[in-house]
Formats: sequence, C-alpha cells, structure tokens
Amino acid sequence: MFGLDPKTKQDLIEKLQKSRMSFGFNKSGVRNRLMMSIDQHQTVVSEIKHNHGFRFVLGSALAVVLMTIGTFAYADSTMPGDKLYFLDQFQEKLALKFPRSAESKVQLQAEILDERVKELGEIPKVEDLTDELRLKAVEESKKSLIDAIDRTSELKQNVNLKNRSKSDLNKLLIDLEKIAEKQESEVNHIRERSLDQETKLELEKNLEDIKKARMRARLESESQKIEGEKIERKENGLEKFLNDD
Amino acid sequence: MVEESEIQGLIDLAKQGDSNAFGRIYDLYADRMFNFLIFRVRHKETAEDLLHTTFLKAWTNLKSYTRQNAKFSTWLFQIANFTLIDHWRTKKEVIDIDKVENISHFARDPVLFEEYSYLWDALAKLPDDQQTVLELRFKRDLSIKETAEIMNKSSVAIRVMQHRALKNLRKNLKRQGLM
Repeated sequence: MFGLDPKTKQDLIEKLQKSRMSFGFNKSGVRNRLMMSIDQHQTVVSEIKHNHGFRFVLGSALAVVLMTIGTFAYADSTMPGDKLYFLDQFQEKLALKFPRSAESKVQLQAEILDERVKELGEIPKVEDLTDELRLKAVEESKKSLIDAIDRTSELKQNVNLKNRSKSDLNKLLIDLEKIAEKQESEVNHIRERSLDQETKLELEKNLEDIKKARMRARLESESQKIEGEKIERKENGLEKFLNDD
Repeated sequence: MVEESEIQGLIDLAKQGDSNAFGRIYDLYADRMFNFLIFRVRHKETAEDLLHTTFLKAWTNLKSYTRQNAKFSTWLFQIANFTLIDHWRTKKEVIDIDKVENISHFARDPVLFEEYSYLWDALAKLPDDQQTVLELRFKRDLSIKETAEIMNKSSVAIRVMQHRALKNLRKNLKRQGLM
C-alpha cells in the first residue's frame, strides 16, 4: 500500500494550488443566453399566473353556473309556497325571453301551462298550505292559460302563416282547451276543500275566468276548423266544376 | 474579491425580479464557476452549457437562498455540482482522456497549463467525487465545511474522501514516474 506522509501530502497540495488556472470562454455569449432564458422564464411564470387567475375565474364561473343549474333543477320540482318556487317561474320567464320563433314560444307557453296545472293538482294534497298561497297558485295557473291562448290567437291572425303552421296552432288550441278543462276541475277541487268564504269567492271568480278562456280556445279552434272546411268545400267545388267541364 | 454586502444587495434586487442585478451576479461569479466546470468536463462548449444551466437554476431558485444557510458562492458551487451530476447521469458519458478536447487552447496561461498537464491527466483518472473534493479544497480554496455543503456530505466524509483522493493522486503520479 502507498502511504501518505505529511511532506508528500503538502507537496501534492502545493502542486494542486500552483496548477490553479483559468480558462477563456464566451462569457458575454453565455450571459446573453442566460438573460434570454430569464426573460422567457419570467414570461412563462407570468402566463402561468395569468392562466391560474383565469382558471380561478373560469372555475368560479363554472361553479356558479353548476350551482345555478342545480338550483334551477331543484326549483323545477318546487310547488307554490316553496322557497325556491320563484326561481322556477324565473326560469320559465327566462326561457320565454330567448330568441325563438313565435310558434316555439307558444309551444313553450303551453308546456308551462301544463306544469302550472299539474301543480294545481298537487295543491289539495299539501296540508299546511295557506289559503293565500292556494289562491296565488290558482291565479298563476289562470294567468298562464290566458297568456298561452292570447299568444296562440295572435299568432293565428298572422296572414303570412303557412297552412301547416295554422294547423299546428289549431292543435295547440285544442290542447289548451283540454288543459283549461283540467285546470277548472283542479280549481273546483281546491274550492271545495277551502274553508274560508272569502277565498272561495275569489276562487269562483278565477273559475269564471278560466271557463271564459277555455271557451275562447274552443271558438278559436272551431273557427279554424270551419275555415278549413270552407276551403275544402271550395276546393271540392272547383274540382267538380273542372270535372264537369 | 467580491464584497459580501454588495452581493447581498444584488441578491435582494434579483429576488424581486431584477434580472439586471442577476446579470451583475453572473459577471462576478461566472469565471470561478466556469473554471470549476471545465476542469470536470474538459470540454469548453459543454462547460458553457452547464454554466448557463447553473445560473438559470440559481435564478429560478433564488427565493430559496438565505444568507444564514450558506455563503452565496457556496450555494452556487452546490448548484454547479448538482448540475454536473445531472449531466453525467443523463449523458451516461465517461470521460476518455484521449478523446478529450485539447483545452490548452483556452487556457489563459498556456505555459502554466503545459507545465501541469501531467497533473491534469493524473487527476482525470480519479473517481468523480475525489476530483471534485480536490478541486474545491485546493484550487477553489474552500473549507472542509463549505466543501461538505457543496457535496452534500458530512465534514468527516470530506476529510476521508480528501485523504483517499490525495493518496490515489500520488499513486497515479508514481505510476507515471512523476513522483
């Protein structure tokens, strides 16, 4: 084995120290590269921070949207008197505000009306509902019926409407009449169960309005039917005339 | 010699994102770091790349540096040493003394380089950690404690490593008939 006496050790250390030297290199070139890398690094960090901020905003917005959708979904199943019932109605109003064709809006209104009537059907089952809320639910339901019939009638007056669209609106009016009939029945049921005379009177007034609206829907659909029959007769007559000729 | 107070001022500025202050730090330490790196890789371009990587790592980790932990130069040497280890690990490159670039062209004092080229050759045959310990201890004049910090070892381990390195160096020189 090789030993390492103090003198040899010192000699080696001195040699190492004396051999200390420096080398030339592209110092400014490396510096420039370094500064460029630092700039890029700072840009990336700033972008990450920006993206992080953006993601945070996006995440928050998404959370709000999801919460809103969830709340609306929950509100959809609410009943008059529930805390989130107003959201259900707000959602319906919002849907009607969206740009869509008049026919599509009427169709949507009919669906809203159908839901109102279903709610009416549930009202007698809810024991702790106040008379005020029962009356309010009936009024809301009635308003939806009248609005739907009004819109459908208005749309029918449009001379530019194609025959097919008129026929669809006619079917809708027939549906509205049926819904109104059901609504009448539900309101009657509520009225029978009501103990407060004043509420009963108010409910009877609403029943009268619903009846009127139902009759209007029937008249509108029948007039359309009569008109259709007239056109059919005219077409048949013309055909006969042509054939006789 | 760089004043520690000047360095500390530059570090504080660089920590706040002042790249010009960091450029000044580079100006002050680049030569020492490059000489350490070229001794280990014996290739100018590679040493320049490693120098760039060392300072970039220092920039990105500057906020983690605190004066209490170590001197700034010790911290820089530590990064340079880790950069070297990473370089060898990824490159899987073994330095073959015969294929090494003739770095005498870049020596600022070619006569001195020629005079001690035999020592360079003998050193190159030592294991990596023994080369590093001799370089840091006797060419960079760092203390046992500083060398231990740079190499992430205990002071005792550095003393033992230094002793073995000197013994091996003498053995190599004796084999060449130089001692």
